[in-house]
Amino acid sequence: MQIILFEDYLVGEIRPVTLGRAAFTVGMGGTNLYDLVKRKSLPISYLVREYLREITLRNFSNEPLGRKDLLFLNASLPPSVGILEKVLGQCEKNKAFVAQTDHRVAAAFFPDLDFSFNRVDEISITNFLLAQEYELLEDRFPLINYPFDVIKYNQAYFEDNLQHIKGDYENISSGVYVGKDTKIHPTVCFNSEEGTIIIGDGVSIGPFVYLQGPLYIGSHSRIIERTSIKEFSHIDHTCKVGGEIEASVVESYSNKQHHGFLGHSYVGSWVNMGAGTSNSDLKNTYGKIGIVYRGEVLDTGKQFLGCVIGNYSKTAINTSIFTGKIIGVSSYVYGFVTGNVPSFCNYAKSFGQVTEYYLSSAIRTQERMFARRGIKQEQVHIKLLEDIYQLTRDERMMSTESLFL
Amino acid sequence: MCGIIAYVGSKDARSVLLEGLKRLEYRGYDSWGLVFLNEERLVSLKRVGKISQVGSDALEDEFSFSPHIGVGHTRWATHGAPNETNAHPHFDCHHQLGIVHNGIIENYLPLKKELEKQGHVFQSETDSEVIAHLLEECYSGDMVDALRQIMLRLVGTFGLTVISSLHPGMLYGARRGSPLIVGVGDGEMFLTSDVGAIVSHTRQVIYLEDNEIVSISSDSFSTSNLNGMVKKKIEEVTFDAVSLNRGGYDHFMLKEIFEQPESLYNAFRGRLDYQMATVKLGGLDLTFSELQEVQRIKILACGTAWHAGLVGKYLFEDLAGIWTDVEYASEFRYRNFVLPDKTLVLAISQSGETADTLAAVSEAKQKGVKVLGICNVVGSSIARQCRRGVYLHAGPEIGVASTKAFTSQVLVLTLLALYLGRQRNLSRRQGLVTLNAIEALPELARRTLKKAYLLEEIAQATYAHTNFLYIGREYQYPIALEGALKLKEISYVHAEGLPAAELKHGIIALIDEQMPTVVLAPESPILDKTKSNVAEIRARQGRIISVITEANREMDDLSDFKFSIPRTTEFLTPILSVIPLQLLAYYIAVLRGCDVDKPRNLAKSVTVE
Repeated sequence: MQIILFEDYLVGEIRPVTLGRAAFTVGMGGTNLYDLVKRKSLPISYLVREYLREITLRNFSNEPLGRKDLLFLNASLPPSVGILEKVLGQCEKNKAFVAQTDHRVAAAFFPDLDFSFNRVDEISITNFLLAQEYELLEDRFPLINYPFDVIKYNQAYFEDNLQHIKGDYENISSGVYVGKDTKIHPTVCFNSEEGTIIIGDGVSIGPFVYLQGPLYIGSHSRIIERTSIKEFSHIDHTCKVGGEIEASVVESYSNKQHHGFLGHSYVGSWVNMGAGTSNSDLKNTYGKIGIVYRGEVLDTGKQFLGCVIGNYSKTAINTSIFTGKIIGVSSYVYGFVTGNVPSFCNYAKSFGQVTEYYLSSAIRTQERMFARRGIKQEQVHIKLLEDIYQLTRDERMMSTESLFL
Repeated sequence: MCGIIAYVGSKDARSVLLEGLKRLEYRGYDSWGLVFLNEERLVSLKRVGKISQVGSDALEDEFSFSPHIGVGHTRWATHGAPNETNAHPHFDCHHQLGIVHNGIIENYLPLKKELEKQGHVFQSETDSEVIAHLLEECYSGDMVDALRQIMLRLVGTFGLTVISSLHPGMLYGARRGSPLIVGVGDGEMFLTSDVGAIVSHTRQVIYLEDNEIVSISSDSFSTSNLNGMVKKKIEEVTFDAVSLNRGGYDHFMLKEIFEQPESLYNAFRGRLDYQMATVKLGGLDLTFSELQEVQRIKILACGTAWHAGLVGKYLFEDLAGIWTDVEYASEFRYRNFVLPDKTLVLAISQSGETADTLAAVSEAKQKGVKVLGICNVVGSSIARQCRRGVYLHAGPEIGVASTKAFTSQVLVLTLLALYLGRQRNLSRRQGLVTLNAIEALPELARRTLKKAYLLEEIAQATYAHTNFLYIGREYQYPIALEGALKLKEISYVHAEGLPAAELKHGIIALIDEQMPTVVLAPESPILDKTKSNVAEIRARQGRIISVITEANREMDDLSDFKFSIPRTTEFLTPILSVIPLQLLAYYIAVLRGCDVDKPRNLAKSVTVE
């Protein structure tokens, strides 16, 4: 059987999370969908938006189609070993099926399908699958529909996933698993009473750090002294982390190395959070948090919800981000963030300034950030910024006296 | 739907084409045309109206020569009124290339502008004529190559046949999304959109696939696609020519029910705009701000169209937040009605000739409000009276009981509600979900129709009953009304449609074991409420026929018979849930020995008060 991870017609709506990455590469619950599926040792192919093809290929191999028994998995499925096992179990019956959720196809299996990527794109794949012969399953698997769903599903499947992958690591104490070449200061305090802790290869953890499971720290990340990282936190590879973090996702190459609180939030890649940056994840009223997202007012149903920050964005020192706010890609925020921030925006509303952040500046900053990590900026990286800049033009066009998402 | 017949061989092409066009009559049309090659000149004839009354002697009067190559076409207007100018064939500027075309060219306007700039002069208002001029532009000695070039530029669907004085003795065809079949005879060849048109001459045929091109002479053929030559298999037509009169179906109504995947596709084709998460409706002729100002909608319609209008009320209120009323046109026209400022009137009529609706449109226009027509027949009285609106493109509907026009009406109302909604508070995400769900409809309708045999079985078990109830809630209430109307119209069985919760306000007194109830119970937030209503019927020994959503088991214990439809958004479900009701009515009528296509006391188009 071959697995096809496909983005569908709504993937572009999970802004800013999926603006710069394929949906199956979004980290949460200690893994991402691609890596989780890869553990099954089945050939993986994928369908992503055209502008992301080249950059995705850099890190995620795309096998050529070689079989007719095909399992299609929506790239917006949260990575969950439980869901994956259930879908694979259904495939064992060798009968075509489709599992639909909220007008999207979550999973579909066809034992003998002539399929070619030339025939579909992310807009047409759903209806291509629905046009086949199949049995509709009763199961409705969850799908990431909105950016804050990442925060929700990150918690939902965390411990199950860690239980599944912990075998790749060395068990150093009860519930604590570490990779190779880690540097863990003897004063580090592990609390795995409520969940597993996994620490990847080459991770460095400074003195007096408190780590509470379930928790995942990706390879080559650095946790500075006196940091407190609490349950349901997913720190991806090559991050620098300090201060207090709780129930949050920090994607690769991001820095949040100073004091300040990050809770129930999602932080994209190549983000830098200045010292003292904190976000609120609880309303003073303790009520359910509602957010405004692309013209919709949504009740998230969550009492705890922080912020969502897109790739390449930066926060200045002492930035305070209010509950349930969304900051786009490559935006620079200062002071109080009381509303959503579009991509490519200088947001200093508390000082009366909200302006566009020029693409040329974003490209120059990207080059400098990459150099600090020993990465050479290439045309593909520049083009990605250019494409996102074009794609998010509508966010900036929606603004009146100030820009808003 | 348009039809194509083309011939090259030793027989008199006049009689072959005339016979072929008459065999295409069942598809319905408003005009027809012929073109023959005579002494290296293309000679044509175009007429509006019936071809059945045209005898071979009439053609001999028009064409004094005896041609051996020619092309015929029956037209059902989509772009441009049904008149002789717009009838096919269409020609290039030098009258050397003649084309007939089935389908719709979606990008004809920019192509037409481009060609006009290059000096081409257009005669008609059709999308099809652009093909002739584009072909002229691309032709440089090789017709197949020219066809390949134009196929790369045309967006939309086509079954296309070309005759040219530059290649006497040759005919060419190409297809994409509209059928084209080669008939292989003994010293003669045919091209047709419908095998029924040629089956009396030959049963050896080649079915062209999308993006394939064929060139034929009297004794040879050659097939290719956009990349080069392709080999095609000759197949034998095995079915009886008699059954081809209705495209193989026993009745027009059944044929039209099964045409719904295609008619639904035609209703949205070229109208979806994913980039802006909305739709494009070219014929509204209202500015953005005029549409934004609309505060109320008044829908005027009769019969089945009124039921579509009732679905429309829910759609406009749900998707666009606009207060909407639906009114019988026959009542509206004689009342001292109130039309507040900023009201938009919608007039719905399949034929566009419904007398009551037409009169109501006139009344509304006299009051100075803007009226949009939603019609199937291009150039019909209501379409002309309104001067703005949306066509269904459902193709001709001949069966008196409306089926495919109803689903197309509901779909067009959905398009309009989405359009108005996106101008107001409907989010981009909801817009995208709606577009994708609309695009899925043809396949979902096809999936529903594949299980028609189940309705035949249910009809066998229930056809002897003389009373039926149909119940549904919210979007399914108008479908309950429509299902009951279908049964009444063609089987003469008394049936009543009502909101499920209204049962207990009186109607439940009628329930006993002799009163089957058709329950529309697809997934919805209030399915539990419907289930409670059904439980009340079951308690009184009433038999239940449920229309449910696939993979939903909630009605299992409450139903005597079940029919499942695919899952879609709640507001598009009516388009799928009405299909089993159409089929149930059809099979019951057949079992009761009724004349399905011509039910007693009814006419297709009600042009009297």
